[in-house]
Amino acid sequence: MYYYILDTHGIPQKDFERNQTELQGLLTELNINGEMARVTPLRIIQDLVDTASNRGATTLIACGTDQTFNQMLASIKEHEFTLGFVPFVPDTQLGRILGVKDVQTAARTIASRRTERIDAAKINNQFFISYLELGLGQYTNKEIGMFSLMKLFAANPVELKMRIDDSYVITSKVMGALIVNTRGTRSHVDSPIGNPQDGYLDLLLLEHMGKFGAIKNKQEITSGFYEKIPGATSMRCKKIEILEPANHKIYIDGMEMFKVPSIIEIVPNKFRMIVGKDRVF
Amino acid sequence: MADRRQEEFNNKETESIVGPSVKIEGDLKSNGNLRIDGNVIGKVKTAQNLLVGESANITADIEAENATIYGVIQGNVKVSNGLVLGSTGKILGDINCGKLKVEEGAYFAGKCQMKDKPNIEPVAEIANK
Repeated sequence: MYYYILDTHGIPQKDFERNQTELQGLLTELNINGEMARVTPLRIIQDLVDTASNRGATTLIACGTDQTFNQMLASIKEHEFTLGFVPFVPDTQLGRILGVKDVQTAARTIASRRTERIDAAKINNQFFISYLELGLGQYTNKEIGMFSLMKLFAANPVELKMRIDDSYVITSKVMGALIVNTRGTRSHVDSPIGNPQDGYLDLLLLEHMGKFGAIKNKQEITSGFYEKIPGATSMRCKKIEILEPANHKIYIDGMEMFKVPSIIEIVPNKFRMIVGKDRVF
Repeated sequence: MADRRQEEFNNKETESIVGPSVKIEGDLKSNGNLRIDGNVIGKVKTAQNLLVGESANITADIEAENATIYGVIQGNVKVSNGLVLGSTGKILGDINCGKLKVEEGAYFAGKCQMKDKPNIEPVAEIANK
């Protein structure tokens, strides 16, 4: 049984209603109807995931924003579901990863039901499938002008301290850092970085650089391809403990979610996802 | 020469790169190609190729399949296949490798042992013939 979780958060009411109507029409047309539940202040995503589990749903679809999906992942815990996503806003990070750019392609993707097992990353026992951002990393895949970028580079670097794979401790002064399961691009086609099916996290560190360096590498900085920048660090690992600086903010898709210290781990083959033909893995 | 070698290495699929501002303490292990430009104290082990860049300063025993050294290593180096000690490379420790190439300007202080013994007749036997 399909269980659709509809979330209005972060979506203008008019757009939400239009997307919901379009989705309902497509689900009927494609014969993939199921139960629809809307998130309200009294029925949060956690409650809806528990309800879906109690009713024997096997497929859970988040309809809304990246945040909707991330909250759904956080609520899943040890329940076994096949997961899908229907974006109700344009240009979502998850839509890029799964190859579903709008309601229409998402509904057709669910109907064709092609699934792939992917790794999950876990921070402090909360799952995510994309990447964590520190410092300048929070501007990854965001529109940012040259002037703003240079202003950001004028800030002091952060001295990060991390324990990797319970084996060694790494310290570095960085402007930004990413901890990547997948980046939402086809990067891993010619690079081992950002493949959500390899059982590894990729740690990318961006060192301090001058104005000229920032201008020259703007594209790589804003797209999160730090490994293409001379002097950047890229390491593969399974477990990262961010030890310092205490209380430094950790973001997912530009939203503050956690603080240092935190433990990040990879859980190979954790989720079965419904994916489109334009997926990035 | 050093730049060309380092660029060639980057063009290969490099699994991990340790940048110049990074300091690592502990056992650094990798299954793929590894490039180190920073500081490492502990042990370094990779199942494939290792490049130690000019800015690297390593106080550790090293194990790799192939290694190219342009930085400073204080520790023993064990390479199952080829070791290149580049023109700016310095090794203060013993070397154990299959093939060895030392460029002009390199510094090495320690014992060197090659894996395969070449078939060479002793000078005394040659003189008796």
